[in-house]
Amino acid sequence: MKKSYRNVILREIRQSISRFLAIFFIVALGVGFFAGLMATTPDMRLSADQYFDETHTMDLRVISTLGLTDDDVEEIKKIDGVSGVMPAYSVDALMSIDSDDSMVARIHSLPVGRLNEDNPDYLNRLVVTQGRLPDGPGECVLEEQKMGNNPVEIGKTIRLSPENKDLSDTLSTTQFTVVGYVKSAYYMSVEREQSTVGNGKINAVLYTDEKSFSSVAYTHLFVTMTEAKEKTAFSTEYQNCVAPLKDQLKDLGTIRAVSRYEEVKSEAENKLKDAKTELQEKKEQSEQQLNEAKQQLDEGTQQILQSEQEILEGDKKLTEGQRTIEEKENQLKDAQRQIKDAQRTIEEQEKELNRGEVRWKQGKETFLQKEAELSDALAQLTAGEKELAAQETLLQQGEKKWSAGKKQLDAQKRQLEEAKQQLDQAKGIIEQTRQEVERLYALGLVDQAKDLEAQVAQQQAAFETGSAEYNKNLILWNQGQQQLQTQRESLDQGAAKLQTAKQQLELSKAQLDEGSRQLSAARDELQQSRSQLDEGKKQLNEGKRQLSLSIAQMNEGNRQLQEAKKQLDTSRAELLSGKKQLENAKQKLAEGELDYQNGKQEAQDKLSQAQEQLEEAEAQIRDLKIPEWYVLDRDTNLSYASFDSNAEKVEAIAQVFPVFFFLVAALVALTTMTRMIEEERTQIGTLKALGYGKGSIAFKYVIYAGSATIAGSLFGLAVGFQVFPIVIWGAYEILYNLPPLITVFNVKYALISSLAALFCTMLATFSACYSTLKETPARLMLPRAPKAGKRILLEYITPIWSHMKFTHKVTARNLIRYKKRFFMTVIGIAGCTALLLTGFGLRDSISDIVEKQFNDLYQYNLIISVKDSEDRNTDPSIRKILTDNAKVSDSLAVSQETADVTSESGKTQNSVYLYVPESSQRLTEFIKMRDRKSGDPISFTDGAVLVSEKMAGSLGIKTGSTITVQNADGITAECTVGGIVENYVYAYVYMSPDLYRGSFASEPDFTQIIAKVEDTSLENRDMISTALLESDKVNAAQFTNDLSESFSDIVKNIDYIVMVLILCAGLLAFIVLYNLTNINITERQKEIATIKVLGFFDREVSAYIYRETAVLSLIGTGVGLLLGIVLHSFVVKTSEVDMVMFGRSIRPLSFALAALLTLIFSLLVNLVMYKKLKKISMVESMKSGE
Amino acid sequence: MKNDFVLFDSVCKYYTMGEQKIAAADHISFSIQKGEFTVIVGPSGAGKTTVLNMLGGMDPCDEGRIWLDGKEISSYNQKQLTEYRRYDVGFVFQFYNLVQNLTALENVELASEICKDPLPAEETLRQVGLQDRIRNFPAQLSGGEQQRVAIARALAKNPKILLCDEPTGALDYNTGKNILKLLQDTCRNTGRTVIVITHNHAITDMADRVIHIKSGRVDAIEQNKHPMPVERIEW
Repeated sequence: MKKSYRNVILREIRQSISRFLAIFFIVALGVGFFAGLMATTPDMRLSADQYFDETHTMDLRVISTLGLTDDDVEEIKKIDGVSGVMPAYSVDALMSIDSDDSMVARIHSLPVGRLNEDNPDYLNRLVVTQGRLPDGPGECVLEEQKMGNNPVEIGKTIRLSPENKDLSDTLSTTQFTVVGYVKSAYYMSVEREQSTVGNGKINAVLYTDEKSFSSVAYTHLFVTMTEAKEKTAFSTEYQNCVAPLKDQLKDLGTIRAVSRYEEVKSEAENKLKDAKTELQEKKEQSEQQLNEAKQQLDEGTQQILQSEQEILEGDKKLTEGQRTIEEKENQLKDAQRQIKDAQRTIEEQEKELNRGEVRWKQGKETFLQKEAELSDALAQLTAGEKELAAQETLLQQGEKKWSAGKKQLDAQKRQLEEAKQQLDQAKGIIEQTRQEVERLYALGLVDQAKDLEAQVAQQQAAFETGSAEYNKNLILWNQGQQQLQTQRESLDQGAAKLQTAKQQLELSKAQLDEGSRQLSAARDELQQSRSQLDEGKKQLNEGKRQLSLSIAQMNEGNRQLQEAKKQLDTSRAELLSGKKQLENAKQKLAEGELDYQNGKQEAQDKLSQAQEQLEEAEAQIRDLKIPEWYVLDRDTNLSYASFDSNAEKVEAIAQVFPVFFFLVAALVALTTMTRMIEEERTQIGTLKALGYGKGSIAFKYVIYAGSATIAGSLFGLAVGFQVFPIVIWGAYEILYNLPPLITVFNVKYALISSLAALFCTMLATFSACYSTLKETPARLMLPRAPKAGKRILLEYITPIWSHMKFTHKVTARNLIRYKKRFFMTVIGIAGCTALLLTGFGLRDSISDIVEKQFNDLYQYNLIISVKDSEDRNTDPSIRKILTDNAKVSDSLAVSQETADVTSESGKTQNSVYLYVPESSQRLTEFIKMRDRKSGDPISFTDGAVLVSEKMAGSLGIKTGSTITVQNADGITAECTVGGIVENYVYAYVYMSPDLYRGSFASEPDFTQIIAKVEDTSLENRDMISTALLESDKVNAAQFTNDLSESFSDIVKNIDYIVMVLILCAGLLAFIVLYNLTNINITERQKEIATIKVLGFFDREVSAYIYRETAVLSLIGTGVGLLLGIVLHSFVVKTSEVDMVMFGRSIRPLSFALAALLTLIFSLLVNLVMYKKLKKISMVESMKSGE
Repeated sequence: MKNDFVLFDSVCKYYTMGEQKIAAADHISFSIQKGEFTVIVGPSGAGKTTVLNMLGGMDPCDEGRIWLDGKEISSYNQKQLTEYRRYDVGFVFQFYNLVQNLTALENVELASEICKDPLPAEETLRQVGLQDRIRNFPAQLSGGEQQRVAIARALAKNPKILLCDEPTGALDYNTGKNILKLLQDTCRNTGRTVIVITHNHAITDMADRVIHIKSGRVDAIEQNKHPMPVERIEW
């Protein structure tokens, strides 16, 4: 390759990394999914095989009806090819931890002491997950349990109870300390075999030292083969390798059986002889013991009589003592009462005394106060007397003064009266004179008159002066008189006051005298009460002293009484115990008597029982049959078989799904490469013009696609080979105790898937190159003429078209225009939807098995297997349950044997159940017989058989055709098919008992009873199965609930695988949608840029593009749902294992989920793409045409 | 100045090429009057398209201001720019850019449907002389006819301004002339402002205004008093 050309390719990859990655991832997904799923089953088997090899898991297991011995071991070891033989014991028992809560345990033996790595005979080795292996008897380890918790903690003790099986024959120790947890290949699965102990469900598997077992013969011999180790378990090679040894062992068995028979027989005979001797000895021994006992009893009776007498006497004494004490007690009580009274009196007196004292003190105080008051009053009295005397003196003086004044005034009065007289005289004179004058005048004596008149005037003047003086004196005198009057009044007042004061003084004097008298009386009284008080105190003290004296006396009496009582109690208790002892002794005696009687009886019974046993043993020895060896391979191990069938299921699913992935992947590659080449049209033209050959031009694209494919394949393989096995293994780890997974790079599947992927992409590349390279360089250089727009059919429907918006018109035209893209997208999306629907549908189908088979078709829910067909009528415990309506409402006996069925076309199916009910009419009450599609019931007639659907389909049986049935005894019969019935688990031929008898000339073996139980609670189920298993006629009692539960577990596993499918389908949907949308956008960049320039908003632009994607997604989803139905039915038919028919219908919810998920993915892609859309530059619109 | 219909005021646009910053438009300033037929001419890589992109609202400028009809486009945000393109600008591409899946009429309607005040689509198509090809798909039309559809699509939006990017670039001489005539007639008859970008100097003679651009700068601005009719232009 030219250097520049290589650069072109490298640059191409770098520049279009998203396109490269699209191919890379889709290839990675396709290849990874295919190779991963395909490799899972081999990986699972390989890991299991490795586990088996590492733990030296047995290849064959030998059991015998009479057990196995060391001689057997030696013989087997001699066979060529045998690499190891491990003899082992195993027993089922009820076990309990702490409480009485009991479970069924299976106990295996371990060759403790020889557990070393290099011991080739240590088989089914245990892997310790916790703790350690047991060191000796009394220690055990438990098998780790996957579902539910491990029931016992390390260090706890487990007890095995011999409730319904006698363990002493098999186990010498029944109590074990748990020292660890282990896992083993032998018990990989959580499913456990049935047990005949307890409720039949094994809850725990124990391993303990083989020394804990006491049985003589081994229950199992485990054998490994040198050659088988190299072969992968589960393979045909392995089976072929083991088969010869199996036959050899069977042959050896027939020889060994005889000698074992001899051995057992002689041993038994010896034992019988010993037993007989022992019986005799025991007989004598017991007689002697009985005699001794009798003697002891008699002695005891004597002793008892004696002690009874003693006790009677004691009783009497006790009564006397009691009486004395009671008397004393009464006396003491009286004394106590008296003391209390006295105490109360003293207290009262004391209180009274105190009160007197207080009163006395108060009296004294009052007295003192009064005394002071009296002396004060005396002083006041004296002062009053003194003042009174002074005032009297003053009064007397006043009186004196007044008398003097009076005298004076009287003198003045007299003077005044004299003056008046004089004046009156004067006046009379004057008058006379005047008259004289007038008479003179009148007489005409005028001079005289005049003289006289002048005399009169003189006299008048003197008179007037005298009158004035008199008036003046008169006023003065009146004044004096008034003053004197006033003085008189005040003197009188003073005298009156003085009188009053004197009287008062007299009065207070009298009072004072009275007070002083009273005071002296009070003093006397005080003195008297003081002496009374003192006397009282003295008396009180005396009383107190006497009281304390009597208290001491009483206490002493009390103490004595208590002591007496105690003594009494002691003697009473002694008496009582004596009585009790007597009672005991009596009872013991009675018991002894009874024991003696019982013992006598027992001894007799035992002896006769022993006798019986001896006889029985003798009979057994007579009946002893030559034993039979059963040589069982790994297929009979439940864990091995179920693991294998699960691995097969994965394989079946792995074969169908990846094809679709490849188809879609090829489609994506084709679209991508076509687009790439179209984009580079001009470049191709240029190269062609430059002279590059077609080959070298195409080479670039081959390299491009090839490198993406190879890289994708490698990535896919690397991831797929790890992820798928790990996820699925992880899913199975829910139900299996698995070893670590070994993932190998599975070259076969790696090559197949990578080459297929490469082929697909190369084919796509070439087909894309082809059309382009055909064209001439000149035409290539020209831009490709744009694809013409075309009218579409819809346009001619004018009413619709004319109402559509432009953008919708464009969408419609575009969808039709780009047909390739249309189909690519629709197919891509449809593929994803179909895958999703198939995934969901598969889950529906599988869950249908349980749902429909056990809950819908089976109307019964309990299957009881009995030893013999008559047991159901004869065995009491079975009858008891079957006839108890509260437990079992209805039951039907059926016969079920394996048969081979051959159709008219000659096809044969083995292991078909030939199912014959005791009553053909009643069968449909227990199992619904109906057509699956129509749901119509199918009648069960005597003349024809009914065939289950799956088998009918695979053998080509139709209603009315004839089938050949070969029953377990090898007798064949031809039967007409009366109908094909819905059935999901196993294959059945239902036949009426009459037809059976007629066809096979024998009676059907009704050893199964199907029954309806109304109350299916866990407790009730446990109760019923425990009750049933108590009968040794019952082989198994199984509830369909348990069956359906174990099926549910398997469904859970498949759920995981379906989840993986759904996840992958989702991833695929995403890649496809992303790629197609991406191409759509890049192809139309210019158009998008143009409408952006035209002014479309971002949302309008995205709507313009996404409308198409949305329509395509919807169409694709619709197509996908249809396709999914087809794919689902194909997958279901392909992945079904024999014996199981999956449900054929898909639930509506699954349709909805598948569609919804696809649309969600589509939406998600559009969201991611929105950014890209926004980023498209408008400058794109300037560029030249596409 | 703001009375000018189109105004570029010292507009710059930079592109970074690795470490280097290149000015695609280096302080470009010019103005165009309403109703003028303007030709922006320059050699390849001179920055014509950058100017067109900025004027067409497809690319923001880094410096300076752009005004159209009194509004500052350079200050618009992304949404406003879209609205601006939607309502105010008619765009004619070199390669027509018709939607292949729509008929001529539908292509026109595609644009007119999103406008506020569109011209009737059929009327516009008649104006560009395609009344008979209305129902044809682009693939059924010649290059010239396709460009006419493109012009009709731009006109139908009734834009303020018609931007044409090398409208004759993909057409032969005569067809190109016809298209130019259509553009000139549109400008003369409807008074619409038309801006044509070309590297063809011959066309400058028909313009009212010629803006010469060279290395991201305005080299010269001429104004033709007497623009030549298209028929007389030869190249």
